[in-house]
Amino acid sequence: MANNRWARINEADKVIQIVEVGDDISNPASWLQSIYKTSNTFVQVPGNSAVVGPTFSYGIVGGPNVFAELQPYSTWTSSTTDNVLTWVPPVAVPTKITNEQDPDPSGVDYDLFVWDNDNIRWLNGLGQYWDADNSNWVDI
Amino acid sequence: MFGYKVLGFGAGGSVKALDADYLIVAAGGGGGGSGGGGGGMRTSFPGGTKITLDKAANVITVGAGVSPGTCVGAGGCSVAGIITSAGGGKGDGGPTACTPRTNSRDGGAGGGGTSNGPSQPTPVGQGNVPPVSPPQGAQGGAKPYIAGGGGGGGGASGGAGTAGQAVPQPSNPPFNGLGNGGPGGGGTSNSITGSGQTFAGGGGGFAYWPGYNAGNGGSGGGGKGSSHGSGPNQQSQDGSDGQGGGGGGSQGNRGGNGIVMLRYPTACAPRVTIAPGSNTTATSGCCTIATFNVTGTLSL
Repeated sequence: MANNRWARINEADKVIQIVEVGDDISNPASWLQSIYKTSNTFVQVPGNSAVVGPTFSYGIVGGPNVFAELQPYSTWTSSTTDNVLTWVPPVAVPTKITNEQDPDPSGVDYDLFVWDNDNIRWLNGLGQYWDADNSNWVDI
Repeated sequence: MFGYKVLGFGAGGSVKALDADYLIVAAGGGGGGSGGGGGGMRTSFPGGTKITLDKAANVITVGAGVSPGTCVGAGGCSVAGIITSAGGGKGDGGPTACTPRTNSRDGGAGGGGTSNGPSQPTPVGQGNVPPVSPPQGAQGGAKPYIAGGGGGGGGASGGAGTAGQAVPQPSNPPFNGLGNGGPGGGGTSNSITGSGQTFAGGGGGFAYWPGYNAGNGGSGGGGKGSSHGSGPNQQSQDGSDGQGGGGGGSQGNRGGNGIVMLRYPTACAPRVTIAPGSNTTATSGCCTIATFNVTGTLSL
């Protein structure tokens, strides 16, 4: 029996809870309102995406049926897929840690770098910023 | 008679309350570079104070796990009666512009720490948040440099996540501190079903660098972290559903969904209905165990 993910939306149009509901429930939105005795609305998460969670807004940013993550930084821009909006930095996440060290070209780890929102650039914690045009690190 | 109380009379008739042992496991936290914390785990079995369910329809909430994003990642809480188990903390941190709690590494069991870039260590996620006694989980492990720490394990016997290694690298400057990802903390075993099972293991931390290994998930459904992309067994794992395991350290590993089990005398079973159908009952000796895999109701 498959489950579907439903988002509980409060009066401020914020997601406050994700609930998995079995597909044997015929009208999950009404059923959830009934058991929780609430006027909060319940909306199925598009594609049952596990990305959507508490702090997302619903219908405020990006369109009437869009789940939107909080904007982490003022310079990041939105990207919407299947009514789920996330935020993308204006400079792509670096693909290596230093010019000499490229340990894992198949992966990118956001946690290795710090976003400098004032100067719109990535820092590596070694006194360098990421030059995305040339894909290398430059001393500050 | 034991097992129930008579609570008042109304137009709809009386509701005989049900006293039940409980095992309530929240969802694990999502894994970032470090592993997510296991879901908070609270239980009365064996020998603890039972909960009293006294409504015609008692809502049983099973926490759902989510993937870690820039502003999201903590596991969902599980609730039965007056008992709430808190979701596991997210592995790593993230942008500070996000709301503290929902971005938090703190939780039922704490997520592993973040470095926020090389040479910038920050604290680990704390477990047993909010605090209860006995504790519902342990803290995560540190991420001292690049290798991620393991998430903490849930429950009173949950183990703390192990810190990622920081092995000196004099021949490889400036990386003076690479190593293996830390294993997730083990969860806590319980036999409310009649046989022992472990829940709420923490997720393992990632390794990233060639030649080093990711941390294994803690016992109880913690997901394994990822190692170097070209190495063996590099794939990371989500936390296990139904166990509240923390997600393995990498990117995007979801915490496992939680579970709720209620144990009551089988003599009481004829007046108990659970819904929806994806939730189940089984017997063990003289008792019935209702298992909630998804949010539902226990009606009296």
